[in-house]
Amino acid sequence: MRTKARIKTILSHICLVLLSVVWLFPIFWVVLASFRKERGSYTSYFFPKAYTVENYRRLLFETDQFHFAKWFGNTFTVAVFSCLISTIFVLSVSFCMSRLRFKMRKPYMNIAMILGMFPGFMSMIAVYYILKGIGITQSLLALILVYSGASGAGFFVAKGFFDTIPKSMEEAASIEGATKMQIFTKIILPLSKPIAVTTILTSFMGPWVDYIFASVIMGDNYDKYTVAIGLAKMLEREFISEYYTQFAAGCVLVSIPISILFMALQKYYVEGITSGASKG
Amino acid sequence: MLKTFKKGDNITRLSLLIFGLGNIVRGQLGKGLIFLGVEILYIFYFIEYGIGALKGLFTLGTQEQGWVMDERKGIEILVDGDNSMLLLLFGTLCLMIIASLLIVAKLSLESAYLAQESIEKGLKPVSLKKDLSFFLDSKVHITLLCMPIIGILAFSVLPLLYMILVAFTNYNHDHQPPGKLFDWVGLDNFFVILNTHSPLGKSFWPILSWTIVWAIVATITCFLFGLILAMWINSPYVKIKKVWRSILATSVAVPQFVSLLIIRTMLQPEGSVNVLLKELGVIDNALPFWANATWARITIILVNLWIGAPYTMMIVTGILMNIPAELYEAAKIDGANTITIFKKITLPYIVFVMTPYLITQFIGNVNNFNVIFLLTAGGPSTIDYYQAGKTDLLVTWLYKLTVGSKDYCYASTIGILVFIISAAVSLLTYHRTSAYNNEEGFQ
Amino acid sequence: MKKKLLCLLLSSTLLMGMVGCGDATGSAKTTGTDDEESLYAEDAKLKLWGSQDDQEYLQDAIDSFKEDFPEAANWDIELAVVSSADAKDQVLKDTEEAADVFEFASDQLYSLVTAGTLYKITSDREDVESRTTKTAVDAAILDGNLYGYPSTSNSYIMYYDKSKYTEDDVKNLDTILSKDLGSDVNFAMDLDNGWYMASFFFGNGCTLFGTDGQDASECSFNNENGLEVGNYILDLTHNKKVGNYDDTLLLSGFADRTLGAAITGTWNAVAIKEYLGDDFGVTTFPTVNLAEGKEVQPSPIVNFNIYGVNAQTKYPLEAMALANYITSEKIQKLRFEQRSSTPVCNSLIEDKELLGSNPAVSALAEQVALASTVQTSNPQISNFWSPMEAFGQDCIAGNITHDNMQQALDTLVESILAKLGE
Repeated sequence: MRTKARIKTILSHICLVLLSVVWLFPIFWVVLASFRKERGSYTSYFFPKAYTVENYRRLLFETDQFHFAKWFGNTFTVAVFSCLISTIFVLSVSFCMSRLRFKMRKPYMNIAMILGMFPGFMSMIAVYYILKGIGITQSLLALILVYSGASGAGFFVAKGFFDTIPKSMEEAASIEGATKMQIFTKIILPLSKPIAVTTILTSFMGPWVDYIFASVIMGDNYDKYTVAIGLAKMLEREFISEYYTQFAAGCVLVSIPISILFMALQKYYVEGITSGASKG
Repeated sequence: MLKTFKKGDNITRLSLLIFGLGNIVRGQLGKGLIFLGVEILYIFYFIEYGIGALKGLFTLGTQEQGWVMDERKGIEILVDGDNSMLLLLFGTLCLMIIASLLIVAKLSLESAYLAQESIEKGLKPVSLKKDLSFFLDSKVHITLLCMPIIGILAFSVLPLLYMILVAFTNYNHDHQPPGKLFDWVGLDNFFVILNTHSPLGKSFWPILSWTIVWAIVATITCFLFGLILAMWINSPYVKIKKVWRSILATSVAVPQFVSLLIIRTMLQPEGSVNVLLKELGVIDNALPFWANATWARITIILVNLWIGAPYTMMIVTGILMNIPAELYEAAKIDGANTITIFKKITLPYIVFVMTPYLITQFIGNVNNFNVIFLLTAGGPSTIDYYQAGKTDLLVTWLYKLTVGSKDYCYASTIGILVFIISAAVSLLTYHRTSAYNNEEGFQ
Repeated sequence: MKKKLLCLLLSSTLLMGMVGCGDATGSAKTTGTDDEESLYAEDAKLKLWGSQDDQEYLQDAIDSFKEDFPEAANWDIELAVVSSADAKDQVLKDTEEAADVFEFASDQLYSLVTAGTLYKITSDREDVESRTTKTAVDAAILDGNLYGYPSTSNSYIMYYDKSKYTEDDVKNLDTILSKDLGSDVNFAMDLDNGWYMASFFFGNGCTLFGTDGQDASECSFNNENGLEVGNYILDLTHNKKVGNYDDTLLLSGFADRTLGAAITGTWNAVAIKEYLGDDFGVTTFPTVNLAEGKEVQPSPIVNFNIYGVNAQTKYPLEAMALANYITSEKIQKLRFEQRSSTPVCNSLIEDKELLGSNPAVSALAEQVALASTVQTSNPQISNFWSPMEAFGQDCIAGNITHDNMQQALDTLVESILAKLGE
């Protein structure tokens, strides 16, 4: 029995190691490419012939073609503000949907679900003209609004989380004369750390990865680009062979903060998602 | 509302036309003035823009842009015409404003009636301050929802209504604003797309079936593989569980935009995977990951597994911790073995908990633009389809139709059809799940 | 109206003498109307769009414009990045916000004109026609109206590694393919890109959109000649010595010295020259043996980059003056020197000495003289690229065989000519 368990243990670990290799392979490759001295997107060999940090240096400090450092800052600003707004929106909406009962509750939930089923790309051009109507196209504010404006429709996971918080606590507070607003800010919010983290994470990541909406809104305003547009530009025909290794370096730089954030907050993230998922 | 209208006196009824009248007459000056102010804003809007917008929505423009000779400059100068696209958008906005007007009118009537009622009961109507304090308590949902709803209306509902309306026009590459006007065409676009003999129809049905196959397979594979991973790492035979979980979670943490573009390059005939396999002597000729339709479809599903499975794994791991321990103990006392426990307790519990999640995933996969677009861009393309490839989903196809050939009306029609599919699936399944029907079960 | 225009043109030409390439500043008009106030605003604000890697030459061009054109001294001319390939998308998205002067690829002409986004070029027309090659001017004309200022032409030629091939080898594609280069790839081109593939069809006498390129209901890629070409392309896609390489792949092929010869445009000339050094060779598109004893010279597509004036610009005359200037002989020469762009100005094309300084551009000029097909713009042109790409990919994937080639070509033509909603 013991040897059987030992064999199982060893086999499991061998499989896991193999799986980890597959899982990390693309990441390993992009790191290799980012340090590769030879330019171009393809090489006829796997390991680079020479290594260099030049790609990173040029990416960050050369500004004649691509202004990566500035775009990184833009993206960071957009990400911070849009995740702030999204979090406030999502938490307030989910509190209302989970804790309060009012006439428009079910219709609101149904409409929110329907909205999620339409492919968003079609409305891109309309969103552009709405922003133009407000007079804020080609600005970071426009991007922030696009990423966070409609976030109030994506409350299902957070609502599921709130549903699991026992009602008894707020009933007690209610008897002591607390208003609903106080219940929200004093009782529910302090308990919603996991779901707040989940929301922050997902909305923080949005601006880093979207380039289709971002490029429609930014158009020719080079100074306000985000890293995703910039990285996509590097893959265009006239740049790709010269800039591919810098593109790889850019990918690494973008992935680092997000991965660190994700790994650090993973515990809460899982907690938020699971309790949310369990109640849908 | 009708009931309130019948019960109210004339002043209350008049409040439906002159907002806030009932409140002003009955001593709630502040509240009444706010209503009145809102009404004046509405009237201003309608005189200034609204009527024109409604007319524009109806005609979608009558005046095409033209050119007039400027004698002094010696060239023809542009004379702006109507822009059908903007007329449609602002017309839609006007419809939404009319809807909001109706709601305000209703509020005005109700508020007037409340005031009337308190007077009749011999009470003093509540002060504005008291009224406002309700917004932190019994009406707190209005306070909390107001901004999110405005956001949703502006950035989701309005664009969406616009998109839906485009499907009933002929906004295609021959009718591009600002140079040309487009017009209402009724259901023509739907007939074109659903007709199996038109170039679009010939592509629509095969792409639709691949979309459905993809959505089902992608959802199920991710679920199963994630489940296996979670159970496996959770088993007593595996040490340093956290490390393994973190390694697998890297694919969730790295932005998709980055990882998918990288994988796309790696799997090209000359990409690093083929190069490595050749260097190791495993293969002689490059594997056609993206060139062959079947290969491409399988590769996409596998890559999607790479992204999606760890996600399920994290969720299942969390759920496993939540399963009440008593359930297991009771089963053990009954003498059930591991497999029976898994079949009778663990699996049903996980499926029960995750059904809503799976439905969301399914709909997410029907609309999974990123994975397809960044990995294959729909390729390998085939002459059997109109402007599409063998791995194109309906969403990526409609993106190509808008960005590539500017055929907005057909793309919108496809968008509506995608919606109908998603809605049907969720209605059929979601409303049956206990999570929906038994919302307060755990509170 | 026309008379007036003619008068104006006539008087300005009379006053200034011949307005040729050298003097394309358009200052003639102001001199002609001396007693009136200047037609140009003093503080015009203009925006100009060009590709990212053209920014430097455009900045130089703007600087010299302000020097040569005194009225423009105080104009505020802003330069922004939108490439000629993206121009259509950006301009159609929001014409009002688009640049006053922008560069676009000639196949976008129909869409841009249909959407009413381009000014007709009337007062400068004679100027443009006199300095520019006929084919380039034709590419900017739709229904008899001129809609832009042609600036450069684009096509493709063959680059080769002189250590692998001699000058005689590269005259014929089948000779190139018959040579044994070991594990290296003999020949590469983009086999799933209509821009390149169409050259075979055109070379064998097939036509697209009629002989003048304006008949949107005609394409003869599926006739007997087309069938020969289809079969030839199919063999190419299955030939191990042929690489289906896009730009990036063929550049890395030359960088690794694992590639013998490749078809691509002049924009890659500098990079390939760097990789191959003394072994750098460039020549015209090789002939192909389509059938026993039938040697055919493929006819590459030539398209043009055109500077257009935004219909919604506030300063049409000023924008036209700028567009006219940056497509003048002086600036075309500057662009040729800085960017290896092929000029479309008669006097520069005829200057063999000048072109000779850039072997890739002179090979291209030779190619254009030998065989080339001007790409036109009509309602169906945006329909052309995807079916051609699909045809190439279907060949590669093996869905098209010699047996069903005729059928495949019929479908191809059907898709190219397909009109939606009918």
